[in-house]
Amino acid sequence: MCKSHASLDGNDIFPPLPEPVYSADAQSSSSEVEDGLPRLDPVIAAPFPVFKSLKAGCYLVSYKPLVNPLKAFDGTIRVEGHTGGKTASGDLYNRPVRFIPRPWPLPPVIALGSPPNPALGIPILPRNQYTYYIRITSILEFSTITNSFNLGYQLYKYTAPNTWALEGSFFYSKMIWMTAPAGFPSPSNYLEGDVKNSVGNIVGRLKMGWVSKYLRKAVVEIDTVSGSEAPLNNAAGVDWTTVYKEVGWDVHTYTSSTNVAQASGNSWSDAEMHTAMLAKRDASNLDKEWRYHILSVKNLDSTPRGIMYDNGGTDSNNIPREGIGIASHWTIPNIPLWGLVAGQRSGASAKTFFRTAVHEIGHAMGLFHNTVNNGFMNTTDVIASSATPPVTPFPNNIIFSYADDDKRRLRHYPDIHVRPGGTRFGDASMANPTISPLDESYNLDGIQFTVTPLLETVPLGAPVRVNIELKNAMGQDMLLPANLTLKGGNIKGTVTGSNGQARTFSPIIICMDDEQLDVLKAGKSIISDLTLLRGKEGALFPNEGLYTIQVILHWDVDGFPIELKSNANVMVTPVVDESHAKAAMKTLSTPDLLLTLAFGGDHLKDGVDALQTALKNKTLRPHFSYTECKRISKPYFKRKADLKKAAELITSDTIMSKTEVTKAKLLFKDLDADVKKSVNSILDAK
Amino acid sequence: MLNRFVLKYFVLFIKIIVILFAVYSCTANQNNKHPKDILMSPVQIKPIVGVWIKSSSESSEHNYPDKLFFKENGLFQAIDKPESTFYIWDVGTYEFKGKTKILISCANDKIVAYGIKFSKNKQVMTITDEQKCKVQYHKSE
Repeated sequence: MCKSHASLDGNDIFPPLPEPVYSADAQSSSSEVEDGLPRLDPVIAAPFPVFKSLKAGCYLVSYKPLVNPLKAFDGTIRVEGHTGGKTASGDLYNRPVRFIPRPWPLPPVIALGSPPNPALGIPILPRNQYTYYIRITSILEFSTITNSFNLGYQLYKYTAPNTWALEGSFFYSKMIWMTAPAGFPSPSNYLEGDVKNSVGNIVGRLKMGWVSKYLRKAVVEIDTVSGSEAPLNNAAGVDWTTVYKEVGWDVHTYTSSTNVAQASGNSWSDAEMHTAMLAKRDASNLDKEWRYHILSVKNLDSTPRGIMYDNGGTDSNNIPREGIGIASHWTIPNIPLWGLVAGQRSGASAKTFFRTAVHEIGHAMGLFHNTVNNGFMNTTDVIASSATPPVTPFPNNIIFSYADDDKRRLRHYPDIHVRPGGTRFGDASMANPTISPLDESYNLDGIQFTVTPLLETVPLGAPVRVNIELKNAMGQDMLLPANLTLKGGNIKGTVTGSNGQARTFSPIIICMDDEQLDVLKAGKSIISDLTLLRGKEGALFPNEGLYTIQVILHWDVDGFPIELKSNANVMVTPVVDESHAKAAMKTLSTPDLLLTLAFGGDHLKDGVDALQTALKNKTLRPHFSYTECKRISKPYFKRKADLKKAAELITSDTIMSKTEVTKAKLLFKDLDADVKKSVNSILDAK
Repeated sequence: MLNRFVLKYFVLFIKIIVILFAVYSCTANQNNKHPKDILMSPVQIKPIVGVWIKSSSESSEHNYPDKLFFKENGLFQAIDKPESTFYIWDVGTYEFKGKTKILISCANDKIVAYGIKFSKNKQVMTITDEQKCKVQYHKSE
């Protein structure tokens, strides 16, 4: 027995954890320990410092308290990697004991059951064994050159139906990288550490091994009545997999029955849907898999579009949040509020129908309504009423994503709040128990990232130009993103209006290799600019008013995500006359204009048409002149480049960033000397 | 004389038929519409528009919001909601059904009928649920 190792009640159950070993000599002596128990071998560090980080994803965890040899807990720790480092949380389930019978009169042997098999990935453990929520308060945020890090956490003990008690004050473990036992999919991402309480006594041992890149997994079964659609996607590239991949859930969705017998009457009651779910679903053991059920019917009694009926009095089997119902034959009222889908049948509008299904499944995962943006957990009525037709009519203003705080809930709520058959709908909250804290955003000292608007006021309908500067003030050369434009893969951002609605912009081209890094010499800067007009949700500046533009520069270094953010404000001024209004309407409602701005050419007729409309308006012309100049200065199939005409578009009023001025000079290098002199004098004055 | 008498009653008969048809049409339309189809009707919503503060509740288990904002467009929202609190009415739609009934969409999207009564000065409203539990609100100044 290792005498120097701390123990409780004189029972030394664990062998001591070895200190990290850095030499080959030390490695040879690590295979035996004095008490004969199997030794825990750490991964041997290289003779030179190697950065180690905690891989994001789900870890299979076991916690073995010191005091009771027949007590152990299994569960998961979810490690979310983000720009601020890592946020993590976990859950522990009691591992049942088993009785091994022996021939009479010998009493049966009591032994601990087997832990989950790591080769099966994310474990699904029985709900009635749920014991602790692990609120992780400190973790390895980025990287270390040692072979260990300190994990700090609190344990909240759960008592059904929804009572949580903080056990002790806090615990910490020095987690050491070891070689994983057989079965773990990633042998190098396995750690063990002694668990110490707040006064430093060892109270157990924690083991964690990476098993999945996802945090949680679930199955969604869809059954329909004959004639009702299955909500599989939004018909615009968003489906269940993409929605839940974004929150770290591995969700498998499939359609099962397509001819569920109609209920009595024209529409379905909540009780009828619950009965149908119990009768028709393909599996029902929620202790083996997290299965949510969708029943798509023609009409619902208690609401027009969809409902998470499985709670309260409707929940006849007292297993809450298993199923939802959606209506495919509700006629969307034919009034302007409902925009492009007014008068349609709900099931025929894939966007709204799919949104409703994901919204209701969100309720089944314990989420409530959330009006922070037009994401999944907002209500359809609120989203419809916030549409801004004709520029962004409903349903084009739907954001097909969960809001950030809902993503956090789905990632870090206790299992029992999100899994079907867990706590009742309404019990989940960020405070009961207090869920894992977010980390501070990572500050990359010495790298300065600034965004400034080219103009602080811009007329409605015009693109907004912002200047970007990335400066290396670290005193040494650094590998940093080389392309700071939307044609690269490292820039994205949001534009938030005064009403709080955020719209996103991201690279125009999906880059297969977005890590275009280059050495930026110490003290040097990269200067670039962005021309912002449209994003994923439509026009970025659809109304007059104040907007905050947040530009995010992101890249990855050896698996560490790094983000730098900078904000700029612009005021969009109202239309000045009818001509401006018409031109603004055209520029704001033509998606192709963005591509024409970015790539030029003649092929996007709508884009070119909108550009010409803007050029005919005296308010918008200065903002679009350079775009047209760029376009016509390059040949397009049979059309020849017209540099002279392009030069005529550049006047003292033309709005151009410094980068655009530089590019324009290159465009005009082959012009006749006198024309070039004239246009260069205008450009030099900018 | 007889012709005038017949004509008078014929016109009256036609008027009655027209009125009955109009009444039937309105009723039929209402019956065919889902509650949400007739949302945002300006009729009857005026007294409820504004911010309401909970005065008392006989049914604490239902987590009725402390502060509610009913908008003119048929939407409502619980305001100043603490993060950890669940409200049965968080955000959604409302619609009057007659003078004493209101349909409110709940946190799980179910539309539930409640009894509603305003004080004479319209500054206090009492909402009664299916179990006859009452929750009273007074209008915020």
